[in-house]
Amino acid sequence: MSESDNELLCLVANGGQTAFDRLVARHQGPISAFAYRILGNMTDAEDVSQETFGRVWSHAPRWNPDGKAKSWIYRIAHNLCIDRLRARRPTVDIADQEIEDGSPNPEQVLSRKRSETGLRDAVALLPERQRIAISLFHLKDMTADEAAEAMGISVDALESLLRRARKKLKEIMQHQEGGAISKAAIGERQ
Amino acid sequence: MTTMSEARFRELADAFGGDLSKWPERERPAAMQLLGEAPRLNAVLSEESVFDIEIEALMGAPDNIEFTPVFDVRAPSGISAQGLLSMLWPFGGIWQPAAGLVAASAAGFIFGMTFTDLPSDTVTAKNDQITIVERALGADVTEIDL
Repeated sequence: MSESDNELLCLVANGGQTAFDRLVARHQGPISAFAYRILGNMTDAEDVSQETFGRVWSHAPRWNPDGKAKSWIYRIAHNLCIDRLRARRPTVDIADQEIEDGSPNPEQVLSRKRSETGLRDAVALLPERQRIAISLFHLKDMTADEAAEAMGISVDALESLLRRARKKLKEIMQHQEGGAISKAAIGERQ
Repeated sequence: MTTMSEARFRELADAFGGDLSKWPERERPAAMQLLGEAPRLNAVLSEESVFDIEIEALMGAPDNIEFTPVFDVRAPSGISAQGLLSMLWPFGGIWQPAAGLVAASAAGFIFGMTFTDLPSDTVTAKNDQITIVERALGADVTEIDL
């Protein structure tokens, strides 16, 4: 039977390298994927993943075993992603610019690029917190409580972020499907 | 008696999708009870599950890129004594170098005791002792009766 994350992190806090390796094997992929989804860049995602586990190793003795190890690890990754987004904000982040200055919303931007973009791009166009919420919550085996704890917000706040994000994504998908159907219909008529 | 309304169930499905095991812990019992009473709500979950699958397919990393395994994150700082010893001797049990050290010490001691015959009762030996003490103290100790 495999150890729980909490058991492994307790061992890591006492210098357990095998336990650390197991934690890495278990969470490196999802954390890298999460970071990639947030940062949109493989190099940054790998850096965040490395730094996350570096901190897990060095800060494990300070972890409170009453909490959930998984949430604690993802909290570290979340904070590192936020730091990177803040560092690059003056130059990049199309989604935030659009929200702050009232220029085209994600749906309008997407509709211009409908032919070459998909749901993946739609996620990238979501506002930062919605993007983080949906990226985190939809990781394998991540529950609402764990995702909220990892983001440092209440479950209610997470619910609100997820609802808005999913609604927006569904609208975009319907838009795309509608576009595809219209094109198909036009093609048949011609 | 069910404490969750159908509208609230739909709201939760809107936000958290079709997998009840991912919903907030505090909502799950009432949601499951309501689902037992109103099986038609399974359709709501199924609909949301389709969307979940589409999103979750995106959450993985792109197929053509492999992540670099984490190898170099273990720094010496903040590591327990056992962890540090393991880093210094990564080839097996830490008893191995310790046992080797003890064996070498014992062999040296036995060799020294067996084969060394110092002329401790000669004048030369006494002079040697004086020289050693003088050098160590940096003083003339010839007046001291050894």
